[in-house]
Amino acid sequence: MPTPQRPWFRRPLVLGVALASVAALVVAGLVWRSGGGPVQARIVEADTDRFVSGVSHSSTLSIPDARVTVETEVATRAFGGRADNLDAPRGGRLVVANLTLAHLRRESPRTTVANTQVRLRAGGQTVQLPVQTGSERRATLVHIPGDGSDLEVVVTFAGRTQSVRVADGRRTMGDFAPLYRGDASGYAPSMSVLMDRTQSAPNAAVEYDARQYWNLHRLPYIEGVGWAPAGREWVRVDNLRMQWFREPRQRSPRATFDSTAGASTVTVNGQRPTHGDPTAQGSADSVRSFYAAPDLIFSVPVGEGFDLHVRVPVTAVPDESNGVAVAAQNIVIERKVRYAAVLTPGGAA
Amino acid sequence: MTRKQIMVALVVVALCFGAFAVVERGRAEVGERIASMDVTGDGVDYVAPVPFGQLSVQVTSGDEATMGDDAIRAPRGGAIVEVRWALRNGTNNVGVSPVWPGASAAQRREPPIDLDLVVAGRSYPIVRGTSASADGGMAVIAVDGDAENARVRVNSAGRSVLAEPAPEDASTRPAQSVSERCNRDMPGKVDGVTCDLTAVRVAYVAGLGWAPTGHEWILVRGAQAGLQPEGVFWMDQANGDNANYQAFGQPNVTLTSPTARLVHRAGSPQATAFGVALEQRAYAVRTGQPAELTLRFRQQGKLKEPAPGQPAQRIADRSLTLTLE
Repeated sequence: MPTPQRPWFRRPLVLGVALASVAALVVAGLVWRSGGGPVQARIVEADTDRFVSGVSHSSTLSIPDARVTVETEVATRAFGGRADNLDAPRGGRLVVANLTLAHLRRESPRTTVANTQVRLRAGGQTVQLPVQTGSERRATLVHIPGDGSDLEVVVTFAGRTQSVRVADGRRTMGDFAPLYRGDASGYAPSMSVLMDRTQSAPNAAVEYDARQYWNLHRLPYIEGVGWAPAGREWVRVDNLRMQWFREPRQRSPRATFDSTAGASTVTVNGQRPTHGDPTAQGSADSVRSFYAAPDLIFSVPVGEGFDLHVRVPVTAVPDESNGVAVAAQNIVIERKVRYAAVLTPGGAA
Repeated sequence: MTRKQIMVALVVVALCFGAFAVVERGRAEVGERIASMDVTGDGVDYVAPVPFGQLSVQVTSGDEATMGDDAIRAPRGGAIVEVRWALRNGTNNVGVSPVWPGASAAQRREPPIDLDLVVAGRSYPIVRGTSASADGGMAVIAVDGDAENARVRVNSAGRSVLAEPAPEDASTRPAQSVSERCNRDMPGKVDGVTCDLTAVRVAYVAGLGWAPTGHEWILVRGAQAGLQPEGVFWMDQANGDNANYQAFGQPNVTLTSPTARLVHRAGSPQATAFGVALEQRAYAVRTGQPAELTLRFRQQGKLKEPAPGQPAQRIADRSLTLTLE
């Protein structure tokens, strides 16, 4: 009886080759998908002149006294430069990042730069960008893992961190939230200026007409002082001045005055400042100033309203009237201002 | 059917699947979000109020999303839509913060904002939990159906609205604020009166929430009126001199509106040295309708020094009107 002939596709050799081919295809597919290993986030060119044709975003983050702007463009290929075109690693993207740090004030730019770190974060990995200031605009070419959809800009300043997700702009503000109240003063003032007059009642023993100036800031961090305690923010009162608008008169003779004798106080919700001494009379900016305080710092719960009370006792010494000495009068110039509660940016986090 | 025929049929089917996969490769699925690509075309601009700010949205639709030479095509019968949005907080040079007295810390926080793309009756999430202080963003989404009428739905603080087409003049505003003071050039014969009126028109106020449906809030804080510190007002005489009157009795200060409805008051009027500061108020005015506010001050006065032809007593009566469009 002849041995039954197997069809060709059931021969062991054919089956073996087929199985080996399938296995090879599976392995090749896995290797192809993985790109030969995980992509590491890293700087490819620190000062690149390459360009990419991708989708660009501009992300802005506020830090004390400065603003960090990072422009990112995500792509799969970078053109130009000193060498050939550069392709993104398989499973990753190329990012061209432009970082600028703009100071809102002229003071302490070096301190701000030294205190600031800017990173790109994607796929759980971070890469630190060099921080530059002003007109130094240098692009950095970076590899990131993934398709760029989770790309974040992370800024650390003086030990605290905030971030913004590039694609959808969502922020994690942390302790930086008060800096996002906006520039429009009515929205929620980070700074307000008071210029007002205080006058004695008509026919008072000493008639006076004084005006006050001060700037008031709500800040999470003050250079040299540090971060406000948890859940609170600093209130800084600076350039506090009191001036005579019209010089005081005691009845008919004119009076000269002295504010150094009395103990001036400046309080917020009845509390003295945590930094600065209001009793010290600072350098008056003109002969008209009879009281000038150094910078004063208080702390209040974030966003809460508060009462600011400035109280300056002065002694009015009348000039002699027709050779007749008139008794000196002690008067108190004071000003109470209620600052309304303000918004807290950043949602319910 | 022989075994050989079955094998041939399977090979043909496999080839068809392969060919279909090759043809359909690079075509997005409905609802798919496409990262790092954009859509070329003319965008349509929309705006919507959000708590404590303003949202601007641009919607662009097309057949494909691209990045350099790479492209992803729209699903069959669908489109790819790019949504770019920007958020602006603040109320533009406003003297009144949109925080109602007594608002809790939770009410003073920005409520989260959710955006959805609406195409052919179907919603596609754009972003969740953003806020007026967040950066803007961009999303590219593959959708089913005709995207010509794509709109963006804005959900925040319990209200859901579709963003409206942006006005052509592009002078969109998150809020409007008007401030006015009495001054010597104002018409009227009486002088020596001081008055201040600042109001803001906003959609949302911390502590009050959204204005009633179809309305916006008009917030007035610190409206006040009085006399100059000396407590004197005066009337010009024909000879160029003033007839001075010393105030007596209680000053009367009112704030009225023919178009806006008073809904909330906080506190009570306070006497100042020479006049009255009114309590904070919240009016509701219909969206699109101008809100007119009139502050009126009346004060009796006695002639301070004899002046020929002048009555012994007069009433200082000044009013100040401002309009928020």
